[in-house]
Amino acid sequence: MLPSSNVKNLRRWAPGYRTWTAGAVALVLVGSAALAGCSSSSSGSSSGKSLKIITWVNPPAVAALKKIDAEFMKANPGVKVTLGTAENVNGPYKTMLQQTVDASNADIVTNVQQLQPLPLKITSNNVTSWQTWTMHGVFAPLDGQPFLNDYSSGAKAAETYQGKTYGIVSGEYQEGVFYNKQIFAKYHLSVPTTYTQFLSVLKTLKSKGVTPMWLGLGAVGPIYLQFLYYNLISSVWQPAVPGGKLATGLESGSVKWTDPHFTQAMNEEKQLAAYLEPGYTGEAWQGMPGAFATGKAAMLLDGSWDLASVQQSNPNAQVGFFPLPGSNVAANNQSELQNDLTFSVLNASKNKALAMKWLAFFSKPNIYAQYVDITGISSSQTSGSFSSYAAKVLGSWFGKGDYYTNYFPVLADTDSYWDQPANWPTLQQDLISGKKTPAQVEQLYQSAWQTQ
Amino acid sequence: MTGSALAGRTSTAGTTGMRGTSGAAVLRRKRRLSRLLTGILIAVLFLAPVLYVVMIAFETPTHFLTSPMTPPSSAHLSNFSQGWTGADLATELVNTVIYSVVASAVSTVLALLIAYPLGRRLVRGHGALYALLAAGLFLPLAIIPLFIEARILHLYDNMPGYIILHIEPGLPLGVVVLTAFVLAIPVELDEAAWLDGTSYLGYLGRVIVPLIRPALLITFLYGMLGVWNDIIGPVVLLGATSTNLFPITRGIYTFYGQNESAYTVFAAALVIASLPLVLLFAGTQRQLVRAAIAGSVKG
Amino acid sequence: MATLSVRARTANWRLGKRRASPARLLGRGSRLTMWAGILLGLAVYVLFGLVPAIANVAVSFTNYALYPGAPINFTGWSNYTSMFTTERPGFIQALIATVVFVTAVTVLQNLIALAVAHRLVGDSRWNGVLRVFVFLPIVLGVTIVGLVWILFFEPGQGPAASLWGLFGAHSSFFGSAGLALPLVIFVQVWQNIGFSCMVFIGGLKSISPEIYEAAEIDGVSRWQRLRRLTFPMLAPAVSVNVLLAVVGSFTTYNLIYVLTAGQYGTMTLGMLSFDAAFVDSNLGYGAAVGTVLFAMTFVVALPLMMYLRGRERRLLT
Repeated sequence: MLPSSNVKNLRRWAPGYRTWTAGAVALVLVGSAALAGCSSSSSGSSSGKSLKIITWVNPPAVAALKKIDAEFMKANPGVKVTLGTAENVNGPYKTMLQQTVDASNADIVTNVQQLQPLPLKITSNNVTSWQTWTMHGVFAPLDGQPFLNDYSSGAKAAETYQGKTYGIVSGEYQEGVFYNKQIFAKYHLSVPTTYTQFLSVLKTLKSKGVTPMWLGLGAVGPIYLQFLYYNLISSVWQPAVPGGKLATGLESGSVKWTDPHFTQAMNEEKQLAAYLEPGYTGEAWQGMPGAFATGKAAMLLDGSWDLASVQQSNPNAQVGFFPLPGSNVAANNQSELQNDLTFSVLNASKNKALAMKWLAFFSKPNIYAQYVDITGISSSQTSGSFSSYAAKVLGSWFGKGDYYTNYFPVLADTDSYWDQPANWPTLQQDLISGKKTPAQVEQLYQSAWQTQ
Repeated sequence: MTGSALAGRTSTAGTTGMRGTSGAAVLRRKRRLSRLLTGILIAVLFLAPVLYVVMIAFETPTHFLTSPMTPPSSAHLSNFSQGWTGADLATELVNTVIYSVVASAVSTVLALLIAYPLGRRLVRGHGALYALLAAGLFLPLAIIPLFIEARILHLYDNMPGYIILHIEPGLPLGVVVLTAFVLAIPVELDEAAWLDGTSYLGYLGRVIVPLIRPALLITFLYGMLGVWNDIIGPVVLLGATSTNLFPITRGIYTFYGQNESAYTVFAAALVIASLPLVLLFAGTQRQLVRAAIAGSVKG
Repeated sequence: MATLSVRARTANWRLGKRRASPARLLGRGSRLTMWAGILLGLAVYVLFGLVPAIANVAVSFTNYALYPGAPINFTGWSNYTSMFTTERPGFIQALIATVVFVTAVTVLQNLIALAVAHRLVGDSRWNGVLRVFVFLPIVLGVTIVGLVWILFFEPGQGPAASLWGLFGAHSSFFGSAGLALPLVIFVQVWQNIGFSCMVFIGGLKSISPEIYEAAEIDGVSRWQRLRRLTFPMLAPAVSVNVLLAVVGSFTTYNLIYVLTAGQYGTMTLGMLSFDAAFVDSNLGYGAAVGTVLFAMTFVVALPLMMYLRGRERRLLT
């Protein structure tokens, strides 16, 4: 029962209350309508005239793609191509890729790792997201598309699952040793092709006060020790495996992590790491090309994706390449190939025809040559001539080498293939710093491997 | 008698000069020196790293590669223009302002609409309600479920959605702070105002809001900062290619992950991105302190 | 603020003078508005705060993957038990790192903020400028702060390296297992001092000068004055700052993400939860770590808050 005075007030309040709430509701409605008008994007606008591509921040590749997009838009008036990017070190691109796949919010997506090889025994724990997505039909098969046959069989095989091909490998990067020709000439050094020669080169440089090799783990972590251990495993261990496929051997159990060749490779790794610049664990990985280009070290352990940055930092640098010689048998020392920048089309995309058209455009010889020349990637097509800086630096090694997936087995149980059981690269760092012996490291790999 | 005894409380350390014994004078000089030194230390510690980045923003890439610590001989302004266009900072700045101001304003209003009834105990179970909201301060990072929810509710990849998704983070702190301030307002005021026949919202707007203005300002600014500096939100809640919707933190990422020679442009972008906030804070600094004073009295 | 004494209230009641409380004054219209306001805010909170958090807990019991048509498989407690097995190394280390991080940040942040606040409490223009500097890191935000310090601690040619070099020492700073965590703690403190400082300044200003004058007359030394007088009277400010520092440092991940991405011993639980979900795409495990983190924060913060509030009451009544 309201007091009488309040009944009077209620009548006075009531009309005010009504107008207040009415006004507030109206304001909210108008406001959100205005805001909705402001935002000019929506997922799933199927006009068929827009194409969305996502890739990660690899500056030359981004530049090349933007150029190709502009040319594509000119050749196809009325079509708009947008490129979305995020950085790939430690997360943002992975996140963006994950959300994009789930929301089907793009048409063409780029992947850093390749689909094959899949593990011998597939469980839900030992495949990457990309592999899971492919196996579950997230990507559209490319079979029957005319451009598919422009690519080498190796490139196609890398993206084929159960007879269908799900991605275009746009090229390969190569890992090895890049050297400063001027410094080598100054100290009368020739390109080493065996391990003994390599050690002598390193010792000579160090005795002259020159930093022999440059590497940067800062902000990326021990995964960048791969420029040492990939090449050493490939040149020291893989040749000793009967049949030559180390990865398959490890998976089937015929080869064990405790193999003495692996011990030898790790000992060499420890030896070589002594010739890296001091403080390399904190040296930002982004600074590697610039440091090498300005002469801070005689050699750079890196992948050919960084050559464009090397050139940009110092156009006058004279750079050469040789594979890291872990073995004293020269023929065993191969450059290492990594498939990269694989394009796939989302099956749920509403612009699949347009996406295929873009891929066909991309694969045309003159457009593809432009892409290869700008990115410095090594060609994955069956033919073509290229005049990129990378082609010049890599010389006779351009497009030649061994696929790392042959000898570095699929250990992934999560998307970051370096975060495996027993934490693969971190143990390598422990090894180099002396925290663990090779035997201990091998035991850890073997026991974790068995429980997979 | 002892005007200078409150050294540290007042800024001037002057006396009438009548107590000019050498002991007290030496002490005063020592205090003044220590105040000067600590002042310089604070200035250096908090400003030096920021100034370093500002300096880089004016260097040419080659200069940065070779001798980044030495100041550039002339201001290399193309870093700023490159940063401005390269990341489309203009659109992004506008977006950032819209997102942070609107989301925080709504959040502050909603917080007040909850804080007043809680503070006045107008609701049964107000204690439980307060605890429920305060628990929001520790909620774990659940952005992927939020992403899924956003997709279901059509709040993904559009401007209104992004704003709506950023209202909740400011609510718990807002409710906690505003409830404390509301509690401090005497109940007798309500008496007087209600009898005049004002409406609920009218009372809040005309009586309560002016009284707790510092608290509202703090809640709004803190919420605004939270939205402004969010790095994960744009990557998860906005489409990868919706560049016209990106806020500044997403734009800065365009330059991060590049090689060293792009650091100069990166630094320039950082400077541009921080400037509005710095100016805003410099302008409102006094009110914020007043609010903090009032806040610590209420606890 | 003061309510009438029991005697006065009884007297009023006998006289039929009911104190008009807002509850009784609210008519139906206003009541509706009030409830609408509460429910609107509550709805936002539940929908965008509680529901995702609860969903997160649910996800921690599955191996959910994020793609169209992904099946949701219930995996029971395996995401939690795997924290202690070798399947997911890093949880125990992350736990230790978190404890170190939280303790160090809370203690350092509050001590230094108090010292700085003491210095900046006066209202001169110079102090006003210094206050802007001190608050600058908060205004700049995590991304910018992190990137500023990455540039500063660049091992090759950054200012820190040059200073270090003056002593003939060499360090990888954020890349060194020994220095990375202390440096991350330093940057976290550097960034958040501004807020604690403001709260302390407010608290210091609220202490009336007469108390200091009385102490001066009694011949109390400056240090004793600080300990026995100022510090206890700052109890409310201390409560706020300590609580915010503890909760903030427990849940923080974005600064660590920008500085080191959790490497070299800086992987705290907050960072691990993020890393597992976003970098490893292991949503179930990430959610499990997040849930454990939430429980830990609660278990630590609640008794802490009760202790601090009790201390306030003890010291100030």
